Amino acid sequence: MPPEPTATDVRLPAVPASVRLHALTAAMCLVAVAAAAIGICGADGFAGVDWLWLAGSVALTAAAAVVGHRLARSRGPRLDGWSDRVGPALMAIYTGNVVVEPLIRALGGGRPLEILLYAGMASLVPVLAFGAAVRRWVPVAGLVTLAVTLFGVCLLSDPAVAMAAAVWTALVPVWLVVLTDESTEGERIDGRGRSGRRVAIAAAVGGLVLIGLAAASLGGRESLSLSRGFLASSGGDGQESEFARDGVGDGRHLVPATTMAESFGPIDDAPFAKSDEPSLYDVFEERYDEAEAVKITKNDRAVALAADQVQQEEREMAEAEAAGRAFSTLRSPRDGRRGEVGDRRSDALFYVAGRVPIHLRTAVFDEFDGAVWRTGAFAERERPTLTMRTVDERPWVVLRDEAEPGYRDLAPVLSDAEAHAIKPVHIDGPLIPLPPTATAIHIRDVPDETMFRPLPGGLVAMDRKRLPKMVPIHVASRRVDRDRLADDARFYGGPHELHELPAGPRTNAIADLASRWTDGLDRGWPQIAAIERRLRKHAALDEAAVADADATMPVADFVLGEPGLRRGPDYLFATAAAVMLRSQGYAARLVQGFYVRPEKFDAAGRHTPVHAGDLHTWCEVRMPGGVWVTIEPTPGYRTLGPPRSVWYRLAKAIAGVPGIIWQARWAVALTALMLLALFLTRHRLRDAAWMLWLRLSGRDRDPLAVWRLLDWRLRRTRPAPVGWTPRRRIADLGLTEADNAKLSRLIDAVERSAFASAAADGDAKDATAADVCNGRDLLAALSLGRLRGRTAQSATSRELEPLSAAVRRGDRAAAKSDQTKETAL
Amino acid sequence: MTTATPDAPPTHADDAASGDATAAKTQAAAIDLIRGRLNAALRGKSAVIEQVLVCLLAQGHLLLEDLPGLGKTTLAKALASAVGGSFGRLQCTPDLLPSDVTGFNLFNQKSHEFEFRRGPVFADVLLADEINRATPRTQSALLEAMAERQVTVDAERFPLSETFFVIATQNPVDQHGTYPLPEAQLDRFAMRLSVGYPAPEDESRLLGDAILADADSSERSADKPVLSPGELAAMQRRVAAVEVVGPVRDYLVAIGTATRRHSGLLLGTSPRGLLTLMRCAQAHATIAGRGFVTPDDVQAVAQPVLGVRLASDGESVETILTQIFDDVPPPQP
Repeated sequence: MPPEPTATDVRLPAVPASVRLHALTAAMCLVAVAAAAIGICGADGFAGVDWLWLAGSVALTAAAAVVGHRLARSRGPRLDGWSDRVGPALMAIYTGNVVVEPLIRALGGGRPLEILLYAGMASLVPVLAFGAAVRRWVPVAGLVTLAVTLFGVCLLSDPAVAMAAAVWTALVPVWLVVLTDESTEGERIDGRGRSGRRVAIAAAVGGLVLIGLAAASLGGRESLSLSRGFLASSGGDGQESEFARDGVGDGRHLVPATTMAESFGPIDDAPFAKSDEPSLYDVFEERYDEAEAVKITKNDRAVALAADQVQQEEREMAEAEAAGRAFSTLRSPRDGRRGEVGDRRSDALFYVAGRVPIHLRTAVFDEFDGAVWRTGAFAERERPTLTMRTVDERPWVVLRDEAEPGYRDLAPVLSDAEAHAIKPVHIDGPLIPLPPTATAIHIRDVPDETMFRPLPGGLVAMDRKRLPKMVPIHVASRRVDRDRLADDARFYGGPHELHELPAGPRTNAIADLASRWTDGLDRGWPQIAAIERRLRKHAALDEAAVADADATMPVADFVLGEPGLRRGPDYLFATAAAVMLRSQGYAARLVQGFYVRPEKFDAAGRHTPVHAGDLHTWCEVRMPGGVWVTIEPTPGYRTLGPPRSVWYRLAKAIAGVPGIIWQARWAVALTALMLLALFLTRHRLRDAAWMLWLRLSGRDRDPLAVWRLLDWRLRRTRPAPVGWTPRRRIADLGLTEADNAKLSRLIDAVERSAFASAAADGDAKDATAADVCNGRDLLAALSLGRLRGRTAQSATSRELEPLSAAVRRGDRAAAKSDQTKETAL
Repeated sequence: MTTATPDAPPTHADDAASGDATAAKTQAAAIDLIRGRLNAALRGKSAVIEQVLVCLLAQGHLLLEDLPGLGKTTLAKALASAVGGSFGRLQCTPDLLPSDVTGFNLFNQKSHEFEFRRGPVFADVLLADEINRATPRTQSALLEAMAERQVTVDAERFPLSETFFVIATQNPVDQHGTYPLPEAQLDRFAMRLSVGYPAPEDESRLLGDAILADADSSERSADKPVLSPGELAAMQRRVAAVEVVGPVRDYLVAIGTATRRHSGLLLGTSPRGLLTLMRCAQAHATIAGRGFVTPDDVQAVAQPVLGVRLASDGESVETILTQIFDDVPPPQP
């Protein structure tokens, strides 16, 4: 005797999830599986992504989802069976994963426990992609993908995993909307109020925005994370910005770890690492005997961390190297890459943290004899005065007093100070590469300005033989706002040394060209900007191009040459700019240093490596007040403006739109007109295309296809409640009896094909055949335009219908009586 | 509650289609004849008569709710004569007893045995006039007979006619001394119809006919029946076999669900109500000469079928049903 069924025996049948819900869940499963595959590969020590493994697991999941979909469509008890087996399958896979591990370890393989458990969970995802075809497994699948994706992100800080997580996050709102929508579906009496398409579109747009933001913040080059204006997330003490309190970051609200333990500069690390390089911080070596393992071979000046305890010995002054006293524009070609430096373990000279692209000065030249640039007397006078100041418990060496009047005048065109950190690796020499308008330098625990030496041209070197390796040098600097310079006419004056040019006809020719370029423009920035802009297009950048050895003034050949022959490296562009600016009465000079390329920005390390190949030459122009503005005439190079918030950029972009539209006004107007015309005729166009398709495919003989088009036309022109059947909608049209009969036959055929099974279809074939000739006539008779017209008329025509019928009847009766009269006669 | 399983589609449509096309034709002719008779008896009420035919073919009982003198009895009598069965009549009053309806055992002094005297329910067509004036006890006796198509007296079972068809009438105006039918009882009727006043021209013709007619117009009811014995039962069986495909069944269920969830309705339709709705839609399809049900069939019979079994507060059931049928999307071809 079978046991009595208890309450627990009663089970609801498996309900298939809707296609869209299953598709969304499957997409989340795919993303989670991808994140897991990348994460596990990383954790297993692969040097990248194992693409085969990734593709395999994604393909498996996709296949499982497709199989689930097929099965769910079949419904019936088979689905129940499969749905019931998903649970045990999940259990078996998860435990099997753990049970097999000792065996694998015995064979020499194996994984750490947490990775093992994670992999176990990740391997559930394909099963759930299959199971989510049934409604009851959908929430489970969602939760498991959440866990798998989140843990994947925690496991590996790889942009690919972060991207997968972003996609997952973008899918979730849509998924939740659909899930909620479908679980409340039965609670409404009808299709009304269904969130449907609009919510789906809104969710999709939101998802796309999320993905876009994620891509922008993860992207390698100039990314949102660098522009700072957008959600500055950084450590801080909450005083300057209440949104910057703690956490790791490198924003400008950074506070030293001395005040908040959670907040620290991620690059202020490793100063105590032992190496054979002389350390800047000598406390270990000074307090204890020399370590046996690491033999210090070189000595350099160091800072005692506890000054009262540690005597500073070996206070040997470094050689007073000035940065490149002379630079000749006459150069000889060299093979291969320029100056590849010593140590090959890491080819970077130094790293820069902070916004890029930025120019870092290392040499300044202000005397030009037509071929050779030299550091002249003016630069010699322009040595910074170094004073020590403590800001936020950090010792800063201030290069220039911002309170001095000339400098204060410049405040409107200068941005707030921003910080860059330079981390020397293989850079030789004590010279600190400084950004333009550098205002202060800070090295942790170096509270002594004698550690720095002022150099000509506003440069600064450390008072050592070379920069301390791996010790971040923080530099505060201010950016010149070129937008505001446009209104500034203060480019006159300047010492006469900075205007001097070698006299001669070729100099005059260059000056003439410059005059032509600046003709009609206001003096000041507009002219300077014009020279910079024109030079960029005037010649082509060619690093390998070298002037003839016997040339007396290579820059003249470069500037005055034939259009196709005007090629040259960056120093010729810079020299040309300087010469042209000087010829127009502006104080200009040539500067050499490093160009920190934004293309090299390393998103993971959040810094940009600088290599010997990044050596660059550019031009600077002097403003009253002693600020040098970077002029970058070399094509392909950019200057760094002040940090712009996203809103500023957006506003600027929007402000630029009218100009762009005006430039292309005819094209825009034409396009707008066309779009408008397309929009206005969209229904007609669709109708015509549909009609054409019916004709070409021969489907205008198929009642159902004909009805679909008619149905669409009716919906366009005669809005009716959703509950109305075709017949009811047609009855509402107010057609003539003949048309009605035709339509009615069509609908008979349609209904027969829709609501009668093939067996009951017996005599239907004849009826369909009889309707064949109707299709085209009907579509022509009930065209979109006529239906539109009818919409307006139908009310009146319906009222008139009985009347006109009566008139017709009356006519017939009259005719008949006439006839009888005639026969009687 | 999901839809019926698709494994066993309740169709004998193949028989209907392939087998007897002639039977379908004779059936259509018979329906036309009955329709003609009813139209002759009750002028200008073809819409009501269509519904009566649907109800008859769907093997359901009919509740006519209308004022006195609008032709309810005429209609019932005409129907009984056309269908060709016996006609019973029950004038309901508060003192009507259940045994007056079902019949009773009488002790026969001669044979010294109880013998069963059949009540009016043993007719083929029963007219229960002013059913709401009978006491609930009597009402339930009648309604039980309607549902079970059998009567049990003193533990003995008496089956009723196979085509047993009740036309009950009630007067919506008189409230005094009436016992309104409870919702549960109303569910046993397939439809509620009201005849309504005739159109002026029909009424004028009615008066004209009355001038010529004899004082006793009973001859008309003695007309020859249209259907031969057993033919109605065969037609009803054929109606039950009309095809209803999955989407249309889903549509029926959606409508049922909508009535249950509508805030304006106190009581939604029961599964039995839906079954009746489907049967009536089948009958409507049959009358239209089709072997399958379309959403139009469902909508055509929905008002009288659902009107009898839905209770509303405030808005009229008709308005709510119109709203529901405007809102629930029918299956698209």
